[in-house]
Formats: sequence, C-alpha cells, structure tokens
Amino acid sequence: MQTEWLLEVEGVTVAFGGIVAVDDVSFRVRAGEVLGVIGPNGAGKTTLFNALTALVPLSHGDVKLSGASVSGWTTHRIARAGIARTLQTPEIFPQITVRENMLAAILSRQTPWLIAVGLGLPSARRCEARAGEEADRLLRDSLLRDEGGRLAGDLPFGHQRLLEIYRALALDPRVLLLDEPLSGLTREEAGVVLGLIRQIRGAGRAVLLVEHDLPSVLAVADRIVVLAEGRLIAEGTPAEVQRDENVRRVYLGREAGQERAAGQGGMAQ
Amino acid sequence: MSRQLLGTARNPAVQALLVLAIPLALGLVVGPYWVSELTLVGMYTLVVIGLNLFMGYAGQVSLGQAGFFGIGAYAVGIASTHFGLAPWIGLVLGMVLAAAAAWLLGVLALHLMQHYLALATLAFGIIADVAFQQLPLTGGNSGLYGIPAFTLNAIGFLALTWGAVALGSWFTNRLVRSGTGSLLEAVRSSEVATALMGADPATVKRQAFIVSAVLAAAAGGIYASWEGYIDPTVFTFALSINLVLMAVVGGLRSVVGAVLGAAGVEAINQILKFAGASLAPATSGALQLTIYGLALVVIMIYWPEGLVTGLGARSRARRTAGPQLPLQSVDGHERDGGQVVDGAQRS
Repeated sequence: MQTEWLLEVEGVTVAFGGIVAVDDVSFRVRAGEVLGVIGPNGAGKTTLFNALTALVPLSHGDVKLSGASVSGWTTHRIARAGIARTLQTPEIFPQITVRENMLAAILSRQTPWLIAVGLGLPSARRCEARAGEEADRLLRDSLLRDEGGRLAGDLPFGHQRLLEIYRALALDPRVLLLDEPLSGLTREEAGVVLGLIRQIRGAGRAVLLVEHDLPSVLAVADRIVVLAEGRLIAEGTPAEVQRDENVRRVYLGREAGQERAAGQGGMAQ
Repeated sequence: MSRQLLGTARNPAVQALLVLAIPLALGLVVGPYWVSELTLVGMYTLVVIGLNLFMGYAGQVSLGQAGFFGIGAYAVGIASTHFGLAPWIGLVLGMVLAAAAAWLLGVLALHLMQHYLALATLAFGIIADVAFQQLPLTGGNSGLYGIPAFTLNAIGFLALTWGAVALGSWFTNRLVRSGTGSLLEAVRSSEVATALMGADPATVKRQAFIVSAVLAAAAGGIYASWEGYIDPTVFTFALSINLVLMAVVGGLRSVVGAVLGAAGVEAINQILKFAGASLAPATSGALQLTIYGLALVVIMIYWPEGLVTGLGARSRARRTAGPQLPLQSVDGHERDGGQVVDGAQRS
C-alpha cells in the first residue's frame, strides 16, 4: 500500500548570514494528521513556518506538497497550492468587518480584475456573488456566525485568532500551519481552538501546530517533532517524545513541570 | 447631516449624480471666471479620485501623477495638431498609453517597499516631464498650440469634466465597496497576510495604479483640449505634489474628500499665486512649494488618513483599539520558561 505523504520537508536549511536558524530539518506529514512542532524559544519553529511559506528563502533543502516540489515558489503561489497559515500575532484586517475579512480571503484565490469589478462586468459580478455565498456559508458553520457584521478590530482577541484560522480555511488548504494559535487565549477559548484543530484534521487536512502550551500539544498532536537550536532532535508520538532522553535534557527536563503549571495558570486567568 | 441622509449619499449612483449636478448647477449661476475654476477643480478631482484609490485603499504613494496627466494631455495635443485626429481619439489613446506606462512601471517597481515605490513614481514623473521638454513631437519647451476643443462651450466643458468625475467616482465607489474592495483593504493592512491568503499584493497594487493612471490621463486629455495650449511647465513635480496634497487634505478614502481636497488646495493655490506675486514675484513658485511641503508633512504626521477621513477615523480608531490580552497570557509565562531553558543549556 502506498503511503500518501501530504507534506515532505527535506533537509530544509535557513541561514541569515552566518546564523543558521533552521539546520537540515526533515520530516513528513500525512493527510489527517496533526503534527506538533515544539522546542524552546529560538529553536527555529517560526522560521521553519516562514520557510515553508516562502516568507524567507530556503538556503538548502526542498519542500514537497503531495509529492511536487514547491520550493522557490512565491508565498501566494504556495498558498494557492494549498498551504495556509496563521501568524503568531494574528494579522486580521481590523478596519473591515468579519464577513469582509472572509470575502478578502475567498477572493484572494482568483484576484478578480479591479476594472471588471468597478464596471460591474458579468464575470466579475458572478465571481463576487459566489464569493459572497461562500463567505456566508463559511461564517454560518463557524463560531463567529453572529459576528459577520462586526469590525474585525472590535472582536475580542480570542475571536481574532479564530477569524484568522477561518480565513486560512477559506483557502481550502491541504496543509494548515498554525503558529501559536493558543497564545493569549483564555482556557475556554483555547479549548474551542483545540476542538477546531481536531475538526480540521477530521476533514483530511494536515495540521502543523507550533505551540508553547505543551499539555495542549500532547493532547491534540498525533506526532511531534522537537526542534532545538534549529535542529530536529526528536520525532515521534507524544508518548515517545516525552520519553526521549534528548528532549528531556534540552526541553522537557526541569521546565516541563513549570510550563505545565504556568501554562495552566495562565489559561485559567 | 443625519445618518439616513448619509446612507443615501453613500450609494455610488447617488454620489455620482450629486458630483455631476452640484458643480453644474453652480456653474449655471456663477460667472465665467468661476466656471473655469470649477472646471479646473473637476480635472484635479478626477486625478485625485484615482490617487485616492491607489493611496487610500491600496495604501501606496505616487509622486508621479503629473506624468500621467501629461501623457493624457500630450496624447490629445499630438493626435490633434500633428495627425489631425479628433481630440476624442487622442483622449482614448492617452488613457491607453498611460495604462501601458503604469503597467510597465508597476512591473518594474511595484514589488518595491512603499518608500522606494514612491521614489520610483517620483523618477517616472521627472522622466516624463523631461521627455515632454525634449521630444520633437511634444514641441519642446514651447509646447503645443491650437489644440482643438471638443466643440464645447465653457459650460459644456464643465459638464464633460464633472461627468468624467461622476463616472470615476461611480467606478471607484463600486470597487471599494465590493468584496474585491476588501481585498484592497487587505493589501493596505498587511501584504504578508494577503500573500498568505493566496493573492499577489503586487498584482492588486499594479491594477490600482493603472486605474489611477488612466483617470489622470483622462483629466490631462480634457485639460489639453479645454486650455487649447500645453507646455512642459504644467506637468512638473510641483503638480504631482499638489495632487498628493489634494488627496491627503481631502482624505484618502472618500470621493467627497477628493472634491473638497481639490477645491481647497486650488483655492489656496490662487491665494498663494496672488499673494506671492504681490509679495515676492521672483520666488512665488518656491513659496508655494514650501508651504505645500510643510502642509503635507504636518498632515501626514497628525492626520495620516487625511483631514476629512481623519476626523471620522479618530472615532473609529477608538473602537478598534488594540486587542486586549489577558494580563498573564500563556505567552508571557512561556517567555520565562524559555529563559530558564537557555540558562540550563549554557550551564
């Protein structure tokens, strides 16, 4: 039986001058899988995401989506190919409504001609109408269903995070990269996002999850890769990673207990 | 003004009709001097509407709009005086030519970051002006004489100009209120986030730039035919700055702002011209540019969205004040944890 790897990261290296932020990292992700990416601060997790979405260039290595290389592609082309992403600090568009945020995301895929839209040409009208229906449908099935008309900037922080995830889902991605989606959320909101992550995985997409809150990662991830100083030092199921000597030494060791306590304390606020 | 009235006034068709009707009505009751001033303000407004789209909605700066205005004007001038073509044809040719120039400039420069982009448009404006001075076709420094009018009288020109403004306002209003308008706002707000959604920010900006160039060229074409004479002194950097100032004074995201900005700056123009000529005849141009430069700096610092939209935005800014993080976020704790790890690794 053929194993279907949705995303293959092969020897990815990102260097800024003499500093190697991501060093020869390789791993693979299947459809329907949540891969946790953990590691201490400065381990290169966000830089890895930046490399996968071409926000920084690869120094070496290759990224394959469903077996086809996407390295060297531009950010928007990679997004259209099916790799969506959220950012550590959510970049919603605060001055337009939640629904308009979704519309912008949906229309990004086709980017209609401005001239056709302004003149109201039939093709542009059809495109806009379809996008409107899709935005309504996506919102109806979302937790923001009652907030479509609100300015995105007025949403509470947790809902801004949700909006950014829904906006990424509007791309109908095969791979979704979530960069610290729980940070800054209350325990309740974090629970909602974790539920959403399980739902996304259930739809046959792969999710890569960078998250500092270890208990949540251990709870939701099928497998975990551990980065330290830009290198991949361990890979396996949550149980395997927790037992790994390397991981215990550089990451989990003494701070694990602290982080768990701190993380839960923070979420309980 | 009541909210209901504002709501109706926001309808693109209603706004377009008002934009045509009010200046026309004014033109019918005032004297010829004011008719000509109103016509000129209309031409500026047309350019400013385009700038509005590019600056206010796509979030970019162009310091070369005078170049596109000039392309439109010279297209009409050259087509009619050299080739005996009707000014209408020159007008269309000028718009096409400006679109092509904007496309080319966009391909070359629109992936640049904002400030470099502004410099690239500045360079374009200067190159265009030098071309108007040097090319045999443009009549060099002496310009082109005897450009035929669109067989219109003064009021006819007023109607033509504001009709074009009405069309431009209808077009941009429909665009910015569409879903695609949200995409423009997305580009303005965050190019990274836009690219991550699958849109190429450069493509969106390029299209907005082309629209702004076409509107500027249309205004320039009407100007040439209306004035009947053009020379390179009109299409200078000073005009570009003037146009940016009009856009910024009026407010970057409103058609009403464009009209008010164009009218306001043109009024100051006339006052300065008069004051400058009587106070210091030799340096009146420099005086004007100095005052405009200062005004631009002050407005960009205190009301970056423009005077008219700036007042509205202030109340909105209060509502969209930054996200409220819980005092002790997961993130905050995590940072402490990270430092511990660093310490542990070093020891």
